[in-house]
Amino acid sequence: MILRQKVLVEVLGEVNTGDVVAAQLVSREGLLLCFSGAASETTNQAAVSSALLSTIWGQFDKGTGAAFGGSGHLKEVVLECEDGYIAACPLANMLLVLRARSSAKLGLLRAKLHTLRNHLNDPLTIIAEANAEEMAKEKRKKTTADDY
Amino acid sequence: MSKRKVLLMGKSGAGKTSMRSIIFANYIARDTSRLGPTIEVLIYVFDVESRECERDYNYFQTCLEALLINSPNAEVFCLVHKMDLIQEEHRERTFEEKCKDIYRLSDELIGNKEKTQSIVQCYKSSIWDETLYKAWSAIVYKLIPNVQMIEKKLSNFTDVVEATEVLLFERATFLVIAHSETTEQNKDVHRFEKVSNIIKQFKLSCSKMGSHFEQVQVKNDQFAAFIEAFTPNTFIMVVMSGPGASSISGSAILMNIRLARKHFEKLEEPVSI
Repeated sequence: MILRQKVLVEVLGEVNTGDVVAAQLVSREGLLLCFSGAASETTNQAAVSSALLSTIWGQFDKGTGAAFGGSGHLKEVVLECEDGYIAACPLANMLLVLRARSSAKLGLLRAKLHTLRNHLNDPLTIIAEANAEEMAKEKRKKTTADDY
Repeated sequence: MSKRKVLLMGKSGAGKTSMRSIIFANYIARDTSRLGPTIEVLIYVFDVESRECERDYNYFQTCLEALLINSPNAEVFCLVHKMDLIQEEHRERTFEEKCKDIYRLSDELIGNKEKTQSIVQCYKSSIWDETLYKAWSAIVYKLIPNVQMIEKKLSNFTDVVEATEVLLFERATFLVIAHSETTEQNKDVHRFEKVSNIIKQFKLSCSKMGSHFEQVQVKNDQFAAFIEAFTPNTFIMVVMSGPGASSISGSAILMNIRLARKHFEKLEEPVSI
């Protein structure tokens, strides 16, 4: 069970039409897992926004959790910024994020977000579960590079 | 992988200790005084500058004879060492002559030309260039029992991850055990030895500072490489190149390495017959 990066980039790139400028997959710790953007978007920008977004998501999750009984129930975040929109939703154990210009229509942005999430949910859930399993194993072993 | 016993032999001053300290980079003297009766591998070092060829050959023959009595299935690697002391234009010829002599001597004992070729192999080496790594890499490659299966799995991994090249290094020596590539580009033939050397130096510097080497990521806009501890006996290096290399996310590659790890760990378990 391996993640094919190049194929994933193409799938994410499908939504980059009209006013959507970037689609990215972000881990809960803020690491950029995959990114597809218009020519003007750089990977550095994407990496920085991933880190910021995961923190923002975490904060909103905790905040709404206090109000609605427990975190982990946040379903979607849409941010209206000065120069555009950012929409994010959970996907497997990661976050799917779309960034768009201010001329974008919110309804269409959300529709794209949901469609992409539904399309990628099954395969990425399998990968995420396998990954979590391996990480738990690693934590248990805790071998270092000099163990010989 | 089960531990294999290796005997490194040669005349005093032939260069065995230097070789060992460079390849194994482990300054604690190994316990060489206890040698079991069955040796699986003999690495014999010939000093190419030696003035006493006949005596060297006699020693070698005596060793080979004794070895074949107790360990008939042993493998013998002959390293023609200190090749840097021969002039460049004479090196190939000198090495071939030495090889012929060694094969002739071994043949006298074994009696079967084909069997000799499969038991005895000759390599040239010098601590001052990459031939040492090449020779020892070949030795390590022969010592791993299921190396073909490892290479096959590595090739699958390379295709799925769509990497340009993937290398598997042995953990202690950083010698290349297996490699697979997707594109045949103009590559440096000596790249394995160079990379082995560079990473080993880096690892040594890390341990001098009291920290453990775990992972290296090297990126520029045409190229990305990830080196990480893989299985208990190996390190893996994944190389992605091409114009899209800068947008490759390190975390995705590391996740893939993590997911592939258990398949390779299975190959390293001792096989029960």
